[in-house]
Amino acid sequence: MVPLKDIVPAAQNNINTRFILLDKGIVKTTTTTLSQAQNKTCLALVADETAAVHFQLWGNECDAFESGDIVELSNGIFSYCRNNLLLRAGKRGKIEKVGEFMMAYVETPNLSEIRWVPDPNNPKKYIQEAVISPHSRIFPPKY
Amino acid sequence: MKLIQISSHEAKNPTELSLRQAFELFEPKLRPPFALTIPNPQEYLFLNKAILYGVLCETHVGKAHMKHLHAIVTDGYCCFVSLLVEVVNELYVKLLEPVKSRLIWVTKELINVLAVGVEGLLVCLLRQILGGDFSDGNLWLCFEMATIFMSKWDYLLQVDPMILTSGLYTYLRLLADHSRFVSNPKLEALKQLEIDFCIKVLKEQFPLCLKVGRDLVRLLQDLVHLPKFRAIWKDLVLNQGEFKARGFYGIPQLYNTRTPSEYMLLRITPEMEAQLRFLLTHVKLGNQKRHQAWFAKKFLWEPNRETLIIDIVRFICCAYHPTNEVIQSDVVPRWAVIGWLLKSCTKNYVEANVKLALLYDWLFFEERVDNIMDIEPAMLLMVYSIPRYIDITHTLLEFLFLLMENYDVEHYDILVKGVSTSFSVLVKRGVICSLDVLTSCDALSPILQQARQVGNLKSRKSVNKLVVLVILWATILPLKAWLFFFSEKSESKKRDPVIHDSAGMISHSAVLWLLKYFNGSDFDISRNFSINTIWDGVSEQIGPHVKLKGHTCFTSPNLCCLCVRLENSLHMRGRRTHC
Repeated sequence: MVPLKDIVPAAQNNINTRFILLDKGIVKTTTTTLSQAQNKTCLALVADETAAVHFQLWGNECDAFESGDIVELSNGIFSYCRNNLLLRAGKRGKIEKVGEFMMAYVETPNLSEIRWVPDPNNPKKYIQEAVISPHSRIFPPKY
Repeated sequence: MKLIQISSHEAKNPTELSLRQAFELFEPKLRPPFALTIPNPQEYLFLNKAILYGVLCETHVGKAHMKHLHAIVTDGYCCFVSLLVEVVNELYVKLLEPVKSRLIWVTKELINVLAVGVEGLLVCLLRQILGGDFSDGNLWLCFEMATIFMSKWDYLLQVDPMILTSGLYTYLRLLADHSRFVSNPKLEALKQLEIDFCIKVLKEQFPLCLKVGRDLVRLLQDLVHLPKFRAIWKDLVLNQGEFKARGFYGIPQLYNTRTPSEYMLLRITPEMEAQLRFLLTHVKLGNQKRHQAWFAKKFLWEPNRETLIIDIVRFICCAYHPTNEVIQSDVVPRWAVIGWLLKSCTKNYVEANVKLALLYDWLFFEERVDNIMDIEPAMLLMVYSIPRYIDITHTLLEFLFLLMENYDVEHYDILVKGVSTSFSVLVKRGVICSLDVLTSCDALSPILQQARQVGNLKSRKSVNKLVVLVILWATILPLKAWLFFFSEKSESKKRDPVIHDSAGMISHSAVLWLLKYFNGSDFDISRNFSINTIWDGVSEQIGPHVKLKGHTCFTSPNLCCLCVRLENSLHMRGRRTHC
């Protein structure tokens, strides 16, 4: 189980973590270019004690999770989807509700609001270059 | 064959899983003929788990499983009961309906054999009854539990007599909610059962009830509009011998007993308790809003749930005492959560009861028996609200003085001593540096001055007599009339500062309305006073020029709520010296 602050964008389904869902956006229907299949997606703000990040709920996940749910992600992926940096379960990963309420969280830093660049020493890895915004610009702090 | 409802994307429940695995492992051994070998401790635990799962899920062979249990038991059912406690605490809300019925059946079976710890199981089940929840499932549990208490009375006395007081506390509190909505016919039978049970405990086991302490008075006072409780109340005040409790010397004995915190837990579900404890030990001040919103959405948003806030405030004051580490950290303090809860009240009678819950221990505070942590939140809420929420400080202070003067005029001396001890202990123990923070605040000076004046009033005793008379007559006014009366007032004057603050006023015309009400009814007015005699007496003594105004804190009609204050007290004192 890795803390959110330590996740790095990569094209790998290997993130196992646990977070609390803070906010959900509206459910959108998107069409996959290849198969023309329609699918629901929903963007959410999730966080743990170390960091926050944008999470993409997919298909029936959109209705199965509510704000306040504690979620366990196994084999998730943190990568760019249409220019947005998102954490999601992806085809190989899964998310499960493991509890409610009882988790502290921070809203900053938000890892989706950080500019990442390839590591000059190891081009396969990304490193943080700059903070675009301390908080989510999609879900600005409510209180 | 299932125990619980699991929604999609929900992780497996570890409690359910361990029971199911045990059942699957032992299933061949659960069918007769049963093995005669004595299991080792490990096997014994698994066998208990397997039988429990079988009893709850396999309706058709439940009795056979129970016989099996009776045959193998070597620990007085201790293990089996503790597994059941775990199921109730962690899974009750998720249990399928038939499983809940089985659970009640097993509980009765365990009472019949006086199982070790079965009283703890009953407490857990009582805690699953939600206050202010009128759904069928919740009312069903109310009914089943009340039935258990009535039908297993003698067994329960053998198991642990104190369990009856847990039932009493629960049902007195539930009755306050259940009797507020008179129009629900479904509720009538349940209400009657609840009343019968409470009265039985009070009449037959009063020495036990004394151990509940001062919150017993708080709950009873919310029910004096019910005839049977009015009778109990009358005996408490006038006829202590009725209770056959040796050495019982009246209500002050209850006031002097701090209610043990286990009673506060009874009206909070384990899930609520866990969330509140988490909020108050892990969430940082300034960062609590989302958690508060989640809590409110889950537990308080449904209609009529608001009365739960009363129990939550009692829990926070008396049952959750943070460690010094937490107090010194940046975790959200108790007073802040209580301030939020107080601001969440939308109904006046709830708000008044919440304030009473918050300030209740102030009235009887004694350094020897009481815990300063019970009164600390109210003090800090008052002090920390001064800069930005002076209305809270104002309304709490005013309410405190109103309670001190009127909560129980017969024992005014106890209340004055309690409140003044509270203030001095809070200063002495360093909760606040001095009272200057209140007294130096200009916005608060009118109330403080008023309080001082009332305190100095020399003819206090005679004033009290009048107050008592008016109260006696007001307590027999049925709830419906009060509700009608208040709804009319609060709708028309929603923004009126008098209505908006802690106390509303009964105008002269309202008094006349009340008089008319009584003259038209054939109530037996306490101590054979006719309303006219009272009224004549009142007007004769205060004189025609003085308007009689009542303050009420919008709870149901009871002694505390009709906090009658005689305005113009100075004028009255003036008249009396003339006489």
